[in-house]
Amino acid sequence: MADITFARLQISYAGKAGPFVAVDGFEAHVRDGEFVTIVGPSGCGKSSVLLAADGLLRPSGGQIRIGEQVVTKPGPDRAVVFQDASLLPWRTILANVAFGLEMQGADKTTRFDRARHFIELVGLSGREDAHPHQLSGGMRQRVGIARALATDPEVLLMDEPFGALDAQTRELMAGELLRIWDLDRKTVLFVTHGIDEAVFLSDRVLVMGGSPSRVVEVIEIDLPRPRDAAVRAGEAFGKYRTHLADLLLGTAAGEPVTP
Amino acid sequence: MTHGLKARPPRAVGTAPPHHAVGLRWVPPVRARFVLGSVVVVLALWQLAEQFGVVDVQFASTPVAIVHAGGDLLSSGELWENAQTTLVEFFAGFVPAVVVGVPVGMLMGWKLRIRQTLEPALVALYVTPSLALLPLVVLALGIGEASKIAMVFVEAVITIAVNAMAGIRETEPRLVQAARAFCAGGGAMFGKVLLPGALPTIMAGLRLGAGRGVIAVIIAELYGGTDGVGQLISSYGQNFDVAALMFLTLVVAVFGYAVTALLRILGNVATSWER
Repeated sequence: MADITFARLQISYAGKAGPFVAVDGFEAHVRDGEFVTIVGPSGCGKSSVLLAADGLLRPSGGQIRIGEQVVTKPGPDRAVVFQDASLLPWRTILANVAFGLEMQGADKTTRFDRARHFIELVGLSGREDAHPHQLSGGMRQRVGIARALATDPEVLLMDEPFGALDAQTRELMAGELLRIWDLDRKTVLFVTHGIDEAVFLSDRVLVMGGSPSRVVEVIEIDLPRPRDAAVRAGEAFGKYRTHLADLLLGTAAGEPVTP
Repeated sequence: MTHGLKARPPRAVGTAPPHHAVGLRWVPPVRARFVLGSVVVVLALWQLAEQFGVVDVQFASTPVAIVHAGGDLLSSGELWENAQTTLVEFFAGFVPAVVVGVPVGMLMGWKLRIRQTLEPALVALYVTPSLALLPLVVLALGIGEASKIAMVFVEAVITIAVNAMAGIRETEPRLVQAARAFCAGGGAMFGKVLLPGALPTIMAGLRLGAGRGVIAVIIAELYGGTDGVGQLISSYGQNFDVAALMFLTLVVAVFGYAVTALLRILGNVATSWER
């Protein structure tokens, strides 16, 4: 079971005047195969929560469990898609996508075959031998997604992967992501500051707020899948969006949240 | 016909040069022609300045005299014998400097404790002129080849290590983080992320180190010894043989340039992904 449990998670940063507690009492549970989004005002520590779930950042208190396993360091059961793609600039697209498998000790044929498969899946066939700087921002994100999927993780952690893209590309990528996710429905934890994106993608949205921040509301997104432009244009979608926007503006202004 | 020739404006038919075998006609590209042109002009002015007594031949010599002196040095075998000594000394010092300097510098960039331990000594050596070190090294190793090799090594290894350290420290943290996320261990992080990321800076360090190595070997030979190009420069200098002196200086400059250019080409091949 690849469910994620956050138990009384606390994250703090070293500061000149002692540690600064950014996140405290963060409680959440992501079910196996569920698509969950974390939204919150900028600086609330949502990316930190995600990085902690991969073990890239050590929490100052509480714990995160994948299944029964307490997270202490990155593992092959999880893969991260970063906001800036973070591809190795000297590697070709093929070698970048194969990177995770290479680290896991897969032989060359296996990892290149798998890499080619996922490059095709994200729609970049023919660009295997290009270098990252030759691709657009959206294409680089596709490579980042392919690299994460290539290791066949149980949990996909996505840290504002479309945050730096233009609105149109962003919408396109969200659709693509759902198409790919629908193939095997991995557990996804997705961090974003985009309200539309959160509603469109998620089964549930965790809204962060407060200082130090925690989960202040969980919104169940009861929209049919597969989701398309029609869902986006529907009335229910609009209601979720308005509700989420109110919540976020409220938390951003520091007002108490009353659901 | 070469590309360079095609790019030129068409000539009037009447002034077309007589046809030689087409394959043998090589016209250097435009930029090279300008560079060569400026050199030729300077040399011609220099030669003419001597002829009209504008400068003193005693100290400035002339291009023609320098070429003659060079011819003598080459035909007598004197230059080649001494150049061999210098080359051997240079490479015997430079190659170990690369082998030691690159990994040590990378480790310094990677591990804070190693950096804190080694950096003060390294920086102190880096800013110390080699001339100041020379008497110490000669006292310890004598005036033979060993002291020259040691000087090249010390001068080059510091520059190489300092640059390798900088290269690692400039590696983008987000790339290191991404590699960690995909379970890269220490060896893979070093070999597959830090080394390629630092390679452009490391190669720049090799070029700078080679330059300092050339300076070191010549200065060490000037200081004392029985052979080597530096020793030749010293003895011709003492005999006021300005033409030979200038030719030898030119040889050193060309050698330094050639080594640097070679390393640049190597560096470009190693970081070809950048283009």
